Amino acid sequence: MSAEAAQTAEAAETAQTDTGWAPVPVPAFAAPLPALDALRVRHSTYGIEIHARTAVRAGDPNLAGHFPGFPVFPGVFLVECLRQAVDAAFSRQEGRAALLRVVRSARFLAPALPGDELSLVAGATAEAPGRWRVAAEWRRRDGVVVARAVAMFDEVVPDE
Amino acid sequence: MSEQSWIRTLLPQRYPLLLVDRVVSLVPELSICALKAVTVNEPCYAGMGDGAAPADYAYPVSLMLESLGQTAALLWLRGQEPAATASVLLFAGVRDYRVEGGAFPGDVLRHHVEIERVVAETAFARGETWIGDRRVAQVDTLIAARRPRADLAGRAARPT
Repeated sequence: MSAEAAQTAEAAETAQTDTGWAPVPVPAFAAPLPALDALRVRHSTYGIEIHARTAVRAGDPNLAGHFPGFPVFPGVFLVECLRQAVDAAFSRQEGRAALLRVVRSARFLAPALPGDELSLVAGATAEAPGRWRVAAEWRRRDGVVVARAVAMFDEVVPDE
Repeated sequence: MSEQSWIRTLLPQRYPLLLVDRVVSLVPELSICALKAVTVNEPCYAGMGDGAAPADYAYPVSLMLESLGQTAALLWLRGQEPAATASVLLFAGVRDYRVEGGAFPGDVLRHHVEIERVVAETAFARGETWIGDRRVAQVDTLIAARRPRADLAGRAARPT
């Protein structure tokens, strides 16, 4: 690679946008909980990197039923976190949205309990026009991996 | 045996996360068909403003998956001791859950699940979700596990 090409590659790599940490509005769509406390999105030539934080709260009414006297954050809520994070990341650009189409795989590896703070890191890469493959990992503050998943999202432009 | 009272002897989930309304048919250790009605009075619709778009009323994919998983759990746990206080039912994983259509208030989800195998305290199942004559989701593998409650409680929850 010539010095000039190397310089261009380096410039492309650093030509990324970073939203920094920002609060997430309550979803406008039906959702069992507002799953995200904060979101950070970085766009690079390789795709989109999504970071999100969510706290498992003892006062979450969902946990009263999951399970009575023994609250455990439901595994499917991690899928809900991912859906809200990807949607929020996309909707920050020209009002687009993202729909969860396929959960290729999800493994729930360790429990998340009230008091836990979870961090989500997800990498989205375009697999086809309008179709994104998203690999995600959730960790507790103690570093333990709570879950890993790969999911497919469709990018949609709302009617209005 | 199709009644809520029977469902509650087997499933530990309660409001707002008990997501099976009625069991239509069950062949022990083989297959089950169960119903879940979606209504606009469910908590997932509580936060929605009047200006929400029609698509925003889609029942959350996370809850559709949870409802299907609870149907699988009913099939697995039938004939076993009632919701033992010493163990906790966990969603361990999923492989290739494909969303093919949306569910909206007024729809009745009809889940069909077949057990594929049970290894010790872990069960593997496949399933489909229908609304009338329209299939809205299918899954290649659902994995559920029963773990001693003490294993989870050993991790003292930290204050929020």
